Amino acid sequence: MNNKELEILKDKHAMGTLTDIEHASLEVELLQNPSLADELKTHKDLIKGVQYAGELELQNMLDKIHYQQSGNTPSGNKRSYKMFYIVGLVILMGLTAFFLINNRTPEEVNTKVIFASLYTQYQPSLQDRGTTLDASIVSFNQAYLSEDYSLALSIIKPFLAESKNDIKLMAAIAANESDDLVLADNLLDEIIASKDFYFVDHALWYKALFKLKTNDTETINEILTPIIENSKADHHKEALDLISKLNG
Amino acid sequence: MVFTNTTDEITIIKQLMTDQQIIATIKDYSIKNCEAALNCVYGRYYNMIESFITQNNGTKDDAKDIFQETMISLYNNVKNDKYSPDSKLSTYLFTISKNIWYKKLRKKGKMSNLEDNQHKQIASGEDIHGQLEYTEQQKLIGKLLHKVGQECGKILKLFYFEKMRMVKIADKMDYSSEQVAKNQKSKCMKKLRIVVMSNDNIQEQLRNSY
Repeated sequence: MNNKELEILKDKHAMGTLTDIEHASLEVELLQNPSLADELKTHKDLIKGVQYAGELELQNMLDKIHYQQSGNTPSGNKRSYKMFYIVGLVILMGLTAFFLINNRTPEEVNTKVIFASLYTQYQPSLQDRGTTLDASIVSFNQAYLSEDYSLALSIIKPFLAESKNDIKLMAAIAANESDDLVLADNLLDEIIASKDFYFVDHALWYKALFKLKTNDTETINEILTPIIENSKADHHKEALDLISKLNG
Repeated sequence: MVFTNTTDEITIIKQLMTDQQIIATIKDYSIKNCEAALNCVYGRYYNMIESFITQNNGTKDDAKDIFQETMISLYNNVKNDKYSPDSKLSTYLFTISKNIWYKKLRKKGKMSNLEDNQHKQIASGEDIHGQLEYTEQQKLIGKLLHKVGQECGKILKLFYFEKMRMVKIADKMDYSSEQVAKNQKSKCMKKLRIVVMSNDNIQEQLRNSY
């Protein structure tokens, strides 16, 4: 069997469309070349990965359609949307009065309000850590959970270089709470660069939130793009919500 | 088709495509060109599913999630020639949604009072579910697909997800022949393999799984 024929069989095997004859041919190849079994598994994983990417794209399309159509549900909901707009208008007028009184720009007030509505500190899962914990990490966690962020930061700072991403994320939050914005940003960038697929979404989200807090809104769209493009990402809905609020 | 949130336009969209036209569009075209068809399905059938979910211990958010899972099932089944043209689309979507929802309720432990016929409905619904299951490794590979570049990502998704024939892919991607498209697809798979094999997270998972 030549390579082209084998590639076709590998595709069909991965997609479950082998005929009986093709199945038999593949079995003969496997007998002659046992390492083909690993190759078939890898090929199947690659194809399933592509199919998953396709489903993510479809999911994004469906999200878009849902948000477009969500204003057109039948009869009763239109009344609630009118109320929503009236309440929104009242809140907007109140905010306008607030910033006029306090001599701040509308954008500053708005971003601070949006930040306050979206920001919550990351809560670590201590159960995943196993039974042996370094004493400094224990102290750091205790200080973090009791919201003594300055203390938490001072405990963990000497160990940041060798810390795992969950500790770095918490340290970034503690740094931001302690107004060490440069350290917070650097830690989040390290997490993003690590390509740890679980923590990257969190790091991007907090990076965007911290930009919001300092009213640096220009780069928020760019930061959140990977989260918005992936409907399965953590903070996907919050990211859509934030962008929607910023863009009016 | 430009879509704005007006009742009149939604009514028009609902009337524009028949169920058969919707299925034919999904079968023959990629996601981007199916937006009108998917809009039709949403406009025509979403409320029915939402009513069912909210009347059976669910919220509107649950309804959104269930309907989208249902749509993905429909999409996969149509692409894989598993959609029977004899069934009405409304019945088909309702059966899948009900099956998915009952399964979720059962997982949450809210199905202790399921009647026999509802258990049977879950079993029969399994046949048409059409939703693919993925390992964490496969999901990670999917998230890495963008690293092979836009052209490769598109070819691979058209072939393996959209189930598009090579001759049509060649036409869509503006290649000179079907053979050129096949060669390009082969190169793109090799590229994806290299990207995946050089990713540390995947390597660790592979070491743990073998």
